[in-house]
Amino acid sequence: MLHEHRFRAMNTAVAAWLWTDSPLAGVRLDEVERFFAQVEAELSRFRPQSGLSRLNAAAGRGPQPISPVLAEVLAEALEAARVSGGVFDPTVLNALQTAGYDRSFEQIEAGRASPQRGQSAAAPASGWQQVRLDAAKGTAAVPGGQGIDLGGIAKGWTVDQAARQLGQWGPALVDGGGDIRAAGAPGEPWPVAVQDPFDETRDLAVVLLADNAVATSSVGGRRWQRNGQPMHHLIDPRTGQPSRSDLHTVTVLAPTAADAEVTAKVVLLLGRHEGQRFAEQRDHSVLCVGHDGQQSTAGHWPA
Amino acid sequence: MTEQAQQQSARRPASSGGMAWKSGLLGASLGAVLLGWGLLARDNAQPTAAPAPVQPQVIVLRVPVQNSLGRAQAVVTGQSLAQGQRTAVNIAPLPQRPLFQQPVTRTRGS
Repeated sequence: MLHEHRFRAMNTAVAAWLWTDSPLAGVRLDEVERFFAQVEAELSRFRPQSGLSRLNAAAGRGPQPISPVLAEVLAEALEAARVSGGVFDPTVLNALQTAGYDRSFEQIEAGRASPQRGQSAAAPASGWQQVRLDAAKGTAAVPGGQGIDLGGIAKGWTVDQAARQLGQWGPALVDGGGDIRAAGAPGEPWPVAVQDPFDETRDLAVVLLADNAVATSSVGGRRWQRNGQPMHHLIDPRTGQPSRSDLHTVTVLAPTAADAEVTAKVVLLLGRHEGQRFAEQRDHSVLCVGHDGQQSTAGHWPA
Repeated sequence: MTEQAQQQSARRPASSGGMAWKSGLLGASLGAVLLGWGLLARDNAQPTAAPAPVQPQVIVLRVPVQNSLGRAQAVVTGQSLAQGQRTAVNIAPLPQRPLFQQPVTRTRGS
């Protein structure tokens, strides 16, 4: 039978499903919630005591000891920056703060006062090549004046790890705010809907997951106003500004949630033509929706 | 020739004629029986005279993976191994419901 557990973590709604007859299903699902809490405590940039915040606070001061979790996610982020030619860049923190995303989005929505930092003009962010990670020694060094944000890729990575752990006990599905990973399937694939970004009561498609993942990036989700200008959280490192590409929402099917998250963001920043080519090069399937609602697909996106 | 011998000799023609009649009757009966057996044997022998080869039948039931919309289709194929002939018959979807009647969750912009 199917067991479900819902909770909040990483400032988003998380859900996990486990298909098993074991009486320990509830215990396994509780472990997922604890795992999300532990990772968030280490990787959140909004928590001053997190490992990531301590690393950012030590920018410019050489190698700092970091936890294995931070080392692993930082390694994935730097690899994503490399394969995308820097279009995915974890060192966009300053640009995000300049744009006004300097608190958790829940606080922004609640209208809490901004600490008014980062008022300087946005500048291109391309600091990922200066970040030094020594996984063997468990240290990382962030150049002065830079900061790291692992938001999206950290969420995808956590979803992947949680699904793998849960998948030991039976077919499992984990949804972290739209980053969704399946580990096995209970006789038939898990059907997952792709929400219409312009009408949340409708779905654009239903994809079937077994041992793969789906994630969506959109400029429609986390939006706010700053100095009368509409802003969103998808910063283009090439300009240091929120994306101005022709794409509104991108959904990607990939082997892992972290991969899907990275490709979705890069495709959105690159725009439809170049972005779809990038997805195909990674052998990922993609559904693109433009600001005008126009849809297009690439890779093996199901018809 | 003694009288007894003469009497026996005198009876021979009469005896000889009776035996022929009996032999004829016996032969006719035997012939009728044999003819009947022969006819019966011919009728009974026809099905076993040329035994047909046993042709094992293999029924293959192919059930494609159901999609989330429950569009399952089952195809029953009867195949003769001896002749390699194949016939496909489309039948109605199997009376089993998909596990999921609707999407489990939705991906949305993050």
